[in-house]
Amino acid sequence: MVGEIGTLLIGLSLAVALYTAYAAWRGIHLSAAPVTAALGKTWLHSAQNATNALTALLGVALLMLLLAFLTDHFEISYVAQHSSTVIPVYLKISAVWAGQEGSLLLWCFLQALFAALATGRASERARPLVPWATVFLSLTTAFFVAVTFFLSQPFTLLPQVPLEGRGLNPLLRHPGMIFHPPALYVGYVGLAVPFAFAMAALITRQIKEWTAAIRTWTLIAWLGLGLGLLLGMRWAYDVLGWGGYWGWDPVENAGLLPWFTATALLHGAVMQEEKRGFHVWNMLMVVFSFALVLFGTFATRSGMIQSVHAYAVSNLGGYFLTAIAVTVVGSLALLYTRRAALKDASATVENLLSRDGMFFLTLALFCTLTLSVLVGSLLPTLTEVFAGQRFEAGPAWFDRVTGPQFAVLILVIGLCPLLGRGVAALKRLRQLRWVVIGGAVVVPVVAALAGFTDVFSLIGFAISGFAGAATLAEFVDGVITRRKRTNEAPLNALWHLLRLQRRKYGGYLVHLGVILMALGIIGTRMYPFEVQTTVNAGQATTVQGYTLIFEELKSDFVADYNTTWANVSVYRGATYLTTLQPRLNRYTGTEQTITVPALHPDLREDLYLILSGWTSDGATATFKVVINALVNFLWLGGLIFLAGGGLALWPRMENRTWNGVALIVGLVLLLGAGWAMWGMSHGSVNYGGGRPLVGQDAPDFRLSLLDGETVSLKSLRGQIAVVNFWATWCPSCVDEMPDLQEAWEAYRGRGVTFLGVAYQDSETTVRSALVQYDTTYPVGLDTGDRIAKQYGITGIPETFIVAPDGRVAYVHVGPITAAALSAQLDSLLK
Amino acid sequence: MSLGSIFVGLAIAVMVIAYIVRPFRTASGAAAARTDKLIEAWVRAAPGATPGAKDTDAPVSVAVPAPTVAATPIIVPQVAPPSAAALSAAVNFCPQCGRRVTADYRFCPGCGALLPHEEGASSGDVA
Repeated sequence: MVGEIGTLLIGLSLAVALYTAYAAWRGIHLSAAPVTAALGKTWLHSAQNATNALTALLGVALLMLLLAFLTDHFEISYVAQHSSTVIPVYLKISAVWAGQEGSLLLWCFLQALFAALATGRASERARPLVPWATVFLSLTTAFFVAVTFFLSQPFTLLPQVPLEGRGLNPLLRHPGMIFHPPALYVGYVGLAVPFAFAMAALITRQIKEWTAAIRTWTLIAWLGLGLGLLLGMRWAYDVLGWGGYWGWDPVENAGLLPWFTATALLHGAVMQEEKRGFHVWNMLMVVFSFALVLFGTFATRSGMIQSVHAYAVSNLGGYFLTAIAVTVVGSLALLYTRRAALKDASATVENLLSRDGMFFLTLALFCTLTLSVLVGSLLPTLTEVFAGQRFEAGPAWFDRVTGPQFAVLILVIGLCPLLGRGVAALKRLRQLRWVVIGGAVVVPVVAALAGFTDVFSLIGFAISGFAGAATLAEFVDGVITRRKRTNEAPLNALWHLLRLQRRKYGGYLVHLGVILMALGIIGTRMYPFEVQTTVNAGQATTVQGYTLIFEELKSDFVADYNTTWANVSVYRGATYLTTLQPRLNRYTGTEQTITVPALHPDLREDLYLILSGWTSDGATATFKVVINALVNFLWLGGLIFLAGGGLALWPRMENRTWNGVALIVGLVLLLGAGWAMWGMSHGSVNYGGGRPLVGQDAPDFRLSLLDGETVSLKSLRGQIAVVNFWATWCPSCVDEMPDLQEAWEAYRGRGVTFLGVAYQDSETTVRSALVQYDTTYPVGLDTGDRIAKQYGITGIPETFIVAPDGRVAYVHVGPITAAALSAQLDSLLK
Repeated sequence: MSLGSIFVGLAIAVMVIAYIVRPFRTASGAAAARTDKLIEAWVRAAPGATPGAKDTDAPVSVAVPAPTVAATPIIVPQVAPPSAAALSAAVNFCPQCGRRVTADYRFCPGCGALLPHEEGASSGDVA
C-alpha cells in the first residue's frame, strides 16, 4: 500500500504542477486588465496554494519512500536494491537517494519546496516578479515530476517479495556520501530560483532589481554546490582508494561547471547592485547556470558516461537534452528581444585596474574556466563524432589548461581589495605594498625550506602568499578603523565587524579558504608521489623518510562483509608514529570489493596506504603508498570556505540569543567536520609503539610478579631474557605453556630468565593456569596493557628474546615450540 | 492497486483540490456579492433614481469591510448624486477606444476601460 500511495501522490503532483503553471499564467494575463484584476489575483492566489500543495504532496511521497526503507519493505524494487536488514538506520535513511529513482524524487521535492518558499516568502523587491517566476518554477517541477512518474518510478513493486535486500552500495557507506547528494541538490535545485526570477525580470522588463531580489537564494544554491563538491572530494579521498580527491571525471565536472557560473553570477550581482551594470553578464550567467544544472543531471543519468557516479544506464538522456535545448534557446531568444532595455542599463568598464575592472576580469576568468572544463568534458564525444578518433582529455590536460587560469584568479583575489574604488585605485596598493610583497616572499621561502622547490609551484606559492596577505590586511584594516571609532578591544572589534558586514567579510573568508585550498592543490598536483611495494611479514620498507613494517595480515567477518587488513607499523626514523590498517572489504550482498585506505595525516603531507593484494598464506603483501603533500591545507581551506559562506548567508538578526545560538551551531558543525577529518582514525591505530625490531633496544618495563616482587627488564641486563606475552583465554597461548616450561627447566641457571606477561587477564585464572601447567618461571599481570603497548602487541601469543646487551635478538609471533626456543637460545649462548 | 490505496489517494486528492480552489470561493463569491449589494444600495439611495423606494440598507453608515481585491474602501458620496435621467442623457466618449457611451456607464462596453466620472460623483473603485 505504501508503494501504491506513493505512486498516486507523484501522479497527483504532476497534475498539480501543471495546474500551477496554468493558474499562474492565467493570473498574469487577467491581472493585466483592470476589469479582471481581481480575478487575476484570485488565480495567482490559487497558484500559490497549488505550489504549497505540491510541496506537501512530494514531501509525503518522499516520506513514504523513507518509511519503506526504515521498515524494510522489500516488495518495493528500489528498496530491495539499495537496502538490507543488517545495515544501520542512518544508512537506511541515506539509501533513499542512493539510486536514480529515489534521488529524482528528492530532487522533485526540493524543487517544489524551493518554489514554494521563493514565491511565498518573496521580498518586497521580488514581489512583482513572483507570478512569472511561479510559471517557470512550476514548469521545471512538472518536468522533473514527469520524468520521475513516466520513466523512473521509485515505487515499482517486485512480483515476489525477497527476504533480504541487496544492501547499500559499500562505496556509499561514508558520512560524506550521506550528505553529498542532498547538498548538491540544494545547489542544483536552488539555481532554478534565480533563473526563474531572471526570466520573469526579462519578460516584465524589470531588469534592474532581480539580482538583489534573489540574492539569498543564489547564495544558498552556491554554498550548497560548494559543500556538495567538498564532500565529494573528501569522500573520494577516504573511500575510493586511489589516493586522490579529484579526477576531472565528467560527472565531477558537471557539478563544478554550474558552481563556476554561480560564482560568476554572485560577483556580477554585486556589481549590478552597486549600479555598475553587468546586466547582460548576469543574465547570461544565470541562464548558463541553469542549463549546466540540467546538463549535469543529464550527464549523471543518461548512462552515456562511464563513471563511478553513473547510475544504471537509463533512457532519460534524450528528454534532458531536449529540456536543455528548450531552456537555452528560449532564454537567449528572450534576452535578444529585450536587448534594448539591457543595453540601456549596462555600464561600461573603463579601467581594468579598478574594482570594476577586477570584477570584469573575475567574470571573464570564470567564463574561460567554464568553457575549458566544458570543452574538456565534451572532447571525447566531439572528437569521436567529428574526427573519428576519440581523444580523452585526462587529468593532466585539465590541470595544464585550468592551472594557469586558477593562478590568475588567485592573483585577482589578491588585487581586488588592494584596488580601491574609483579614483583611489592604486593608493591602497601603495599603502600595503610591503605587506603584500612580504606575503609573496615569505610563503615561497618557507615552502622551499620545507622541500618544495619546483619553480612553478613556487610561483603559485608566491601568488597565494600575496593574495593571502592582501585579504588578511582587509581584516586588520577593518578592525583598526573600527577601533578608531569605538575603542573596543581588538577581538570585540573583529566580532562586531563580522557581525555587521556579513557579506563583505564572509566573502573575504571564502577567499581565504580558496587560497588555502590552492596551497593544497599546488602541493598534491605538483609533487605527486606514488609507489607500489611488496613486503614480507615482519619486513621493513622505506618510503620518503617513513619506515613501514608489515607486521601481519588479519581477517574478520562483520555484518555483511568480509574484511582483510594488514597491520603496518609506521616510523619516521626511529620514532614510532602509528600503526596503519589498510583493508579490503568483500561484500556478500552486492559481490563488490572495496579498498579502504589508511591515512596518517600531518601538516606537511598525508601518508596514504592501500592494501593491494596478498599471498594466500598471508606471508607477503603488496601495498600502494601515496604521499599527498599539503593536502590538509585543502581540507582546512574548505572548512574556512564553508564558514565564510555561512557567515555571508546569515540573516541580520538583532536578537542576541539567536546570534549566539547560530554561532554555536555553526562552530559545532565546523568542529564536527574537522574532527571527522582529523580526529577519527581513518584506519590508523596508535598502539603506543610498534613491535620492536631485531637489533633495536627492547623497551624497558616493570612487571609486578604474582609472588609480590617487581622485576624490571633493565635489571636483567647481562642475562638473556625470554619475554612471553600470553593469556588464559587464548587457546594457542595455553597450548605453548608446556613448551615454555620445558625450555625454562632446560636453560635456567645458564644465564637465561623467562618472564611471562599475562595480557588482559585476571589473577585467579592466571594462578590456576600456572598450577595446572606446573609453570615455575616468573609471571606477572600487565595491568593497563602498559607493557603490551610498549611492545606493539596486536595479538597473542608473542615471544621476544632479549640479548644480554638489552637489544631484541629474536621475535616470534604466534605459539612457539620448545625446539625453536632451544635453537635460538643455543645460538645466543654461544 | 488495493482499495485502501485508492481511498487514501482520493482523500488526498480531494483535500488538495479543495485547498487549491479555495481562493475562488472566498474571493469572488462572497466579496463580489457584498459589493453588488452595496452598489444596489447606493444606486437606490440616489435621489430621483428610484422614486418612492425605501432605503432598506443605509448606505452611509454600513460598515464596509475592505473587499479582498480592492485596496481602496468604498467612498460614500457626500454630494447628492446626479439623477439617473440626467446621467443617461449626457453623452461621453470612452477615452481608451473612443466608443460612444452615456454618463451612467461606469465601464466601457467596448473595451472594458474604467470610465471617469466628472460631476463630483463617487470615485470609488468597486471593481
